[in-house]
Amino acid sequence: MKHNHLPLLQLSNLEVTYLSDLSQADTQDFISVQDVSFDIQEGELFALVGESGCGKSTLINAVLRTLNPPGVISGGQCFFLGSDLFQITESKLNQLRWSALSLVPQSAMNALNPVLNIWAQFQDVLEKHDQQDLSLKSSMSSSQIEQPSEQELRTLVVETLELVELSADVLKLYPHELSGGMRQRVTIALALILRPKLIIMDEPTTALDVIVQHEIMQVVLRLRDELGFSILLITHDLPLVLSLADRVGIMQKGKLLKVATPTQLLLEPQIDYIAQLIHASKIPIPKALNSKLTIESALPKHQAKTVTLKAKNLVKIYKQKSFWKSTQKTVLQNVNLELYQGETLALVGASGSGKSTLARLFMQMEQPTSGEIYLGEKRLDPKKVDRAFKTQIQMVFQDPFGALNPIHTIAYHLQRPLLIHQVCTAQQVRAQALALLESVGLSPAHEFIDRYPHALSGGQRQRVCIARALASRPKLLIADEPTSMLDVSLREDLLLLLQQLIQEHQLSLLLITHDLSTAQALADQVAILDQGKIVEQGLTTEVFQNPQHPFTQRLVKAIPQTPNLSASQNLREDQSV
Amino acid sequence: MSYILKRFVLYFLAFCVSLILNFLLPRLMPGDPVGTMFARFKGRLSPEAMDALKQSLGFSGDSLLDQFWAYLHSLSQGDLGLSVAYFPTPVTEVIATGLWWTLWLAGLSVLISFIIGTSLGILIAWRRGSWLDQSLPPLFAFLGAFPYFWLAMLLLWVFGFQLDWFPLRHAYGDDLEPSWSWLFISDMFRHAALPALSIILATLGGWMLSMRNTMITVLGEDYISLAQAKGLSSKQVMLRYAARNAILPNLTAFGMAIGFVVSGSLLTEIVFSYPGQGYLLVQAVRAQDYPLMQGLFLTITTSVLCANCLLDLLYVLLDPRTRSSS
Repeated sequence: MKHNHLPLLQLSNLEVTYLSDLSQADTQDFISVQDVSFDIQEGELFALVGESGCGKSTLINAVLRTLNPPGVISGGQCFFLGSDLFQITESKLNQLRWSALSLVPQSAMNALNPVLNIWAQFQDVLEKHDQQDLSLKSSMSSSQIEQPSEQELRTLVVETLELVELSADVLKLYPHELSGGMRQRVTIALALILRPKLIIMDEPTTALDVIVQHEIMQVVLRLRDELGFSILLITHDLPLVLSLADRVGIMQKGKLLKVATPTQLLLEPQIDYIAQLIHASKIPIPKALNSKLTIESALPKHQAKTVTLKAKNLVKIYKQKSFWKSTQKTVLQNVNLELYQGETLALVGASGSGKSTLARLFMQMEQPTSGEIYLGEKRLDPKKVDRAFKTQIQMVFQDPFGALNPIHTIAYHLQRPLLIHQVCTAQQVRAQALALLESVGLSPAHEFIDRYPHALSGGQRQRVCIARALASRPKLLIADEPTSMLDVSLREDLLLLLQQLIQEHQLSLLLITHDLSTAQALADQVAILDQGKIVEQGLTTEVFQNPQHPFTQRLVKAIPQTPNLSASQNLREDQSV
Repeated sequence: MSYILKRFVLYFLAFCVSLILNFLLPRLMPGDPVGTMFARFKGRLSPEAMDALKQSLGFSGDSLLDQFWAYLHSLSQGDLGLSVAYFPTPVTEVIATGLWWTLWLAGLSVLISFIIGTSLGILIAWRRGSWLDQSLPPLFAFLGAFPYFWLAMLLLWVFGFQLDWFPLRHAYGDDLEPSWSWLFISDMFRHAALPALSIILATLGGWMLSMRNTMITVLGEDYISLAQAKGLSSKQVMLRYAARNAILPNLTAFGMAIGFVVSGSLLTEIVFSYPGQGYLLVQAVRAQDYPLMQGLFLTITTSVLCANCLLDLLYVLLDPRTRSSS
């Protein structure tokens, strides 16, 4: 890194304010980002890390001047290629946008216009930007000054798509016809098409599963080496950042706490918050293992384990009947599982591997095509749905924001299962609900019970969901990615809570996840699901230390390394190879 | 492709059902419509004409199935029988004129209302918070709160009666013969102005508000920010990215509104004595003109089906996501 050069982007004293609504007297202006200054050198990967709501996304929108009202840039300068982005006219800015400064947005799922095909979305940006400029930058040798023809533009687009390992076929497709990973690659190709100097990447991989995440980051880093652009990477994935970034900026509550290299951060994480972030992203391996050990040693070693749930040769085939023909899709093939009392089984697999379908079968939301499910000794009758079984199996959903009905209070959410499953009488129901809240750590419970879901944070909502699942005193809890929507710093607490509850109530937990580090931390056993088949199953420690199946090996390799110096060094050496 | 075929099959089935219902309903009605009807014609019609009328209505004493085949047969010849209220004009002819005027009046005003309302919706959503956005929605909510026939009467009284700017009734002046002359066409416009205005004023707000609301949701989508970051002009972001997506739900509503067009904006037509479908329908009910009613119901259901079918096809063009859902 040559620091004697002028930085590519220099942001100083940025302040963004969300103006109060004039029609409502009691609202106040809210300063979302305050006094943020940093610079980005040419070719540098600068990462911004922080929890959601810390102002990261606001910051990028400010830099790109795409803030939506009522947000306004209330102070600061942003020098980019010699001009202040906050001062130049809209048309000057529109010239710089994309040709020099492009964006890979968060959630590629919604970043592409659903009614235009991929080609059209490349075309409009190509047509918009300076054609002369383009022909200079393109790899085509011709020195024409006239506008490049559509054929030439197409060649350029195809070349760029090849960079992200996509074929030209995607051009005529529409966004909904592509998988999440492909869409993300399209947005990266789109960001690269004009060969910009700086690409802002806003959580480019969070929506994807681990394997794809890993692959995409590899592609991005390779392209940076080839094309020499700078990256401003916004993320909350600290391990990834610590292993890849040149410098890291840590944000909290709209302020930039510190800018440092990953090595500096790890050696001396002076600020508590940073230490906390680093700690949280490691996921509670040591603690979890410790408590597990004590439990195991407290129990007699050779005690026979009680089977809570058993799946035998489960098959699920979806039949799609269209008007003339019917097609079949096998989602689960011969799945066998055993889940013991007081234990956690992690079901790990990429998206689309059938994890959620399996959970739906256990919940009796759907019936298996063939195969048997046993709860304890009794077999689930596929013909009729038995309330007694439903009482014993409960579920915690992925999205705590969608899982609670916004028009009802927390009390309502907890009291209904208590009454439906006849856990207690109507007189005791409120006391029971309070006790449930206390048991999930929402204390003092009377402060929470009459609130509505919107008045709780994501972590608190997920706790309410867990309390709700516990209300019917189930034997088995199914948790579908219970922490994936939460900030890293909250995950640890929630996972510890789950673990504590399992031990207290001697529950079985089926943990569905694509995050191996969570599985590693919490589960006694893991089962790896790939394309509807369980490819590997066994004790967590064994599976992770000695993965047998190639798919498992790929998964284990894709776990971002726990941030320590040697690991980050290794990963970077991987890149340069 | 199979999606379109499937749609066609579905609409054809719906059409068959409407045919059967249309045939059965008068025959299932309580009381004896034939008796009441014929009682009114005693002495006014020759016995042969009475027989022909009975025949044309299918009250021939044959079995229901035979009657149905006869009904289908005459229908395929475009023969819906003779109107009672406008005797002896064939029903098809009566409906044809009514349909024309309704399409002209209601079709035009719904189209204008849709276009203006949707454009305004796009604009005020794009400039949300501006004075335009603050003032237009309440104004049109206020206007939309009036029943539209009341609005029609108000317009009629102010602009027709008091100020005498526009004619009070009918689709064209009584002293004119329908022709493609400049005089006649300008007269048509003058006669259509007030009723059209009343429909437009009453419905515009709905289009505008629904478009504004979807538009604002769409403006929050990531692809809008991306389009802005791409450096596209605001016109392009507004129309090609935002409005292009936001208009889809509005189009569905438009398809239903077309149904409203053909059934005639009943009360408006009555207030202005405008000889459209709605006016005919009232005449038919008053005169217990069963053949005309049957014919009207058939045209209404058929045109609603056609409009929706066309819209479905348009949807396939506009929203690629429907194409693969088959």
